[in-house]
Formats: sequence, C-alpha cells, structure tokens
Amino acid sequence: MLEIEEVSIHFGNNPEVVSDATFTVNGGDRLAVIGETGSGKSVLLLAVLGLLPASARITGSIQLNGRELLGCRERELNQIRGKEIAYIPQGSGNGLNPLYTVGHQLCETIQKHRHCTRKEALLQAAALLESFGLEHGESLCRSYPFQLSGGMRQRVLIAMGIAAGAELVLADEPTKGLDRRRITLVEDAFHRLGERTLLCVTHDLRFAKDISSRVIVMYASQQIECGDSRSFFEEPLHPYSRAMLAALPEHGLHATMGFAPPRRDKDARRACRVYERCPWRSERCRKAPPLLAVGERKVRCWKYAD
Amino acid sequence: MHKKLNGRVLAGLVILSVVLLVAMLAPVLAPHDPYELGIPYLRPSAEHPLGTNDIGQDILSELIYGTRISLLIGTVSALTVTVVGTALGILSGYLSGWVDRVIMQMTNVAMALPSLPLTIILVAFLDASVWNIILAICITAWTSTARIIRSRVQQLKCLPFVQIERTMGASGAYIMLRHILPNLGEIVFVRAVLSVGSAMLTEASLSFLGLGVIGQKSWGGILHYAFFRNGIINGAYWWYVPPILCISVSVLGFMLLSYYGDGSAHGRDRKEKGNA
Repeated sequence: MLEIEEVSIHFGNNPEVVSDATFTVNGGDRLAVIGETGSGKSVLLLAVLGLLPASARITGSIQLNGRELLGCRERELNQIRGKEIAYIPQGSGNGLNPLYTVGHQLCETIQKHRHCTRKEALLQAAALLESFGLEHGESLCRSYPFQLSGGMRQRVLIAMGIAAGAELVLADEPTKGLDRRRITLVEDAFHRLGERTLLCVTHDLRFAKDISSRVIVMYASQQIECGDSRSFFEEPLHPYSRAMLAALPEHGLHATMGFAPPRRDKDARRACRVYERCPWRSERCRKAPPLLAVGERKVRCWKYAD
Repeated sequence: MHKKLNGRVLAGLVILSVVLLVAMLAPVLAPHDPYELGIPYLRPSAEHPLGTNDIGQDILSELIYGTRISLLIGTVSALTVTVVGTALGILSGYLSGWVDRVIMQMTNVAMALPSLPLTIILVAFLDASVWNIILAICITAWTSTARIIRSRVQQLKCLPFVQIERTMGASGAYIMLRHILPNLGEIVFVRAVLSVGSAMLTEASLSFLGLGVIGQKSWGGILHYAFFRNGIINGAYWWYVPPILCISVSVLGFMLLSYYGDGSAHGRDRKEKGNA
C-alpha cells in the first residue's frame, strides 16, 4: 500500500534527520515506528503527507498504491490527504479549532470528501463518535473542544482523522500527554479502526505492543530494526532494542545510559550510531553496519553479519 | 456583566453612542444653521451657547455638524484600512514564500514613506472631496494592521488544528477564511477601532491645514479658521477649545472601546479579591 524507499530528509544544509528509510506498509498492516525523541520518526510521517516546511529536502521515493507522492502538486495532495491518508495528531492542546463545535469540525471533513447534506453529516459524525466509545455522540457534537477532557479530545481527533474514510491511517504519538487510563481508551479506539492500515509513530512501548502487528525501531535518523511485533517484543535483536525493552518496568527498569550521537558529529555518524551505548561493540563497529536480514526480520548490527 | 464588557469598554460605548446620536440628529440638535452669518466674536451666551466665530456662525452648530464628517471619514477609512490590512496580512502570513516577500516589501515601502506629508500632497493634487480624503488617509494607514495580522497568522498557522485541517485535505483558501480569520476576530476588531481613532486625527490635521473637505463643517476645519483668522491670538477660547475637546473625547471613545475582550482577566482578579 505505502512504499517508502531510500527516503532521506534534511533541512537546509543541516545533516540528515532521516537517512535511507526503506520499508513497505501492506494493506491491513499495523506498523508502529518506535524511537526516542529526535530520531526522525515524526518528520517521516509529515513527509508522507507532504507537509514538511519548504526548507526540507527529500530524496528517495514515497509511493501510495503505486502513485509517487514526492513532487506531487499541492492540489493533488489535498485530494489524497483525508480521503486516502488519514492523520491522527498528538492529542494534547490545540488539535481542534477552539471556536467551532466538535460536530462542526467533524462535518467539515465528512462533507468535503463525501457529498451529503449537513444533517446526514451530523448523524454520521455522531455515529462515528459513538463507534469510538464516546457516549452521547449527538450532544458531544454540540460541545466545544474546551468542554472535553484530554482523552475525549484524542478520541475525537481519531474519529476526525478517519471521518473521510481513508484506508491508511498515520498517527503521530497519539498517546502523548495522556495518563495510563486515557492511553487504554486510546488503545481501545485504535482497535476499533478495524481493517484499516495503520502507521503509528510512538515512544510508548506498551502502546506499540498493544496495537501493532509490525515494528520499526529508529535511532539517530536510521532504521535499526524491523520485524513482526510479537517476535520483536519477545526477543529483540538489536542491542539498542534489547536495552530499550529492558528499561520497561516489567523487565526491571534497567535504564541505558548515554545519548544518540549529535547530528553534527560526522565521525560518530560514520560509525555504528549506537556505538557509544552498545555492550557488544567491537572494532568493526567503527564502520556503519548495513540493514541485515535475519529470517523475516531486519537489523542494523554487525553481530548478525555472520 | 458580560465578561468582555469591562468598565472602560462601557465608557467608550457611552461616548461613542453620544457622538453617533449627535451626528445623526444634527439638524434637530443644532440651535442654528451652521452656515448662517451673524454678529462676529460673540462670547458664549444663552442665544449662542459657544459663541460665534469671525463671521458670526454659531460654533455649537458648527461642532454638531462637524461630527458627521469626522465620524464618516474616520469609520470609512478605518473599515477600508482594516479590510485591506487584514487581507494582506492573512495572505502574507499564511502563504509565506514569494507572496509574503512581495507584500512585506510593499508594506515596508509604505511604512517608510512619511505618511502625513504624502497624504497632504495627495489631497493637494486630488479634489478635496470626502472620498479623496479617505483614499489619501488609507494609502499608508493599512501597514501596521497588515504587519500585526501577519505575525498572528504565522503563529496560528503552526497550531495543530490548522495543520490537521491540511492533513484532511482542506485547501489554503478554506483554511484562511474559515479557520484563521475567525481566530483573528478580536485583533481585527481592536485594530479597526484604533484605526478609526487615528483616521479621525489625520482628518483633523488635514482640515486644520486647510486641506479638508471644502464646504463642509469639520472639527479640524473649525480649528483651521480659529487659527488662521486670529481666533487664538484674540483669545476667543470658545472658538478653539471645543473642537479640540470634541476630537480628543471621541478618539478617546474609540481607544476605550479597543479594550474589548481585554478585561476578562482583570474582572476575574477583582472577583477573587472580593471573595477572599
């Protein structure tokens, strides 16, 4: 469905924020992109939507159902966004226009992409909200965003994202700023997405585990591991993934020290980018490892080269 | 009390209602025909509450009729300035790129021009009709509105809900009109109200310099005659003080009105103090 090939992104003359991202999202996949802040995952989502600022330079290819999205005109993109690609933003704060009711904003999207009357759109909006476990859809449609709680707003945003009926849903850290209980509600809403294809960026590992069927780990602008969700959470391959999972409370909160190398540090970026934090590092790690296939999975680590 | 109507706004509303009423009811309120000649330099009396000028015209009646021109020129110019400034501000703030550069260059040029001399030259070359004066006032006055709106739009543009509209396939024009413009409401209002004040002042200055609307009474025009026909030297205070007061008070009315929406925090503070 969505094919991303050797996509690199940098802003102005700065070093790349995404290097050579290559992966495919098949219809029905639920792909979670995991990575720490600044690893380039959100930028990748915006690139798919064609919403990066003008200073961004993108190379490579992003194809949606065989159609190249890079270099598309704004008008064509307006037809694709919403209708073919839905986007669910971070829930905190100003995701909804404070001046309009929830129903108004939902109807806007519905009416843009499906030709129907205001009344029909309102009914659809209310039904959509209820299908995401929000009770009293109709009265909710009449409320303003400030009258809603954070968890409710996030679910409204999910409903709004898919209101136009897109098959591919992109989500950008949908659990940011929510507490555990609200996250459960959002997880529930994601399960209600049904057969839709999901590409979700998150740094909430538990959330990723719950909703995804496949996982990609990004670190310092690179993909370092991808594979199916179950085997990834049972037995991560990359040392960074291992360390990351070991830091979960249920695995004993073994936090890893250190940070990703700074973008300007060219030497560090020529080596394996996890070098500083890796327990397995050896001399050959001075050279950047390629993305190696291990069975069905892929990992960027020399240890799996033999 | 409505949270956006604080004391200052109410005072402004009262002043402006009075000014508006006077302008509308001028023929009823004026004790004399402002053009009628009579005995010159009369001091204030029951017959002429504010005395007469050098050709015996009743000053109170002149002031009452002058309200019309000041208010008309003030509001029409402000409306034009606000519409133009807001439109350019939204376009340049939202579209950025070359549109922004072109509009900002225009704005910078218009800002760098000394506005009063330019206006004077324009008025001198055009006929001194109401519309030409409005045009001359507007030609440089839209700049600050455009700059202020532009920077607010740049802020709004980055808010998630605008980004989300884009992810749902909304076009730029739709976002600008339906999502950005409504969120600018209060700024546009405040800018419009302040523009009325400054347009009235410009009109008064022009009239004072003798470049006002010919053949119609205006506050600046009364001052012009008071100055150039020796009313000030002769100490005819009843001639030059009232128009100054009229200008100041009505401009003050608009300034006070611009506090609309500003007092909610202030009002809350007071309430909290009251409860404590």
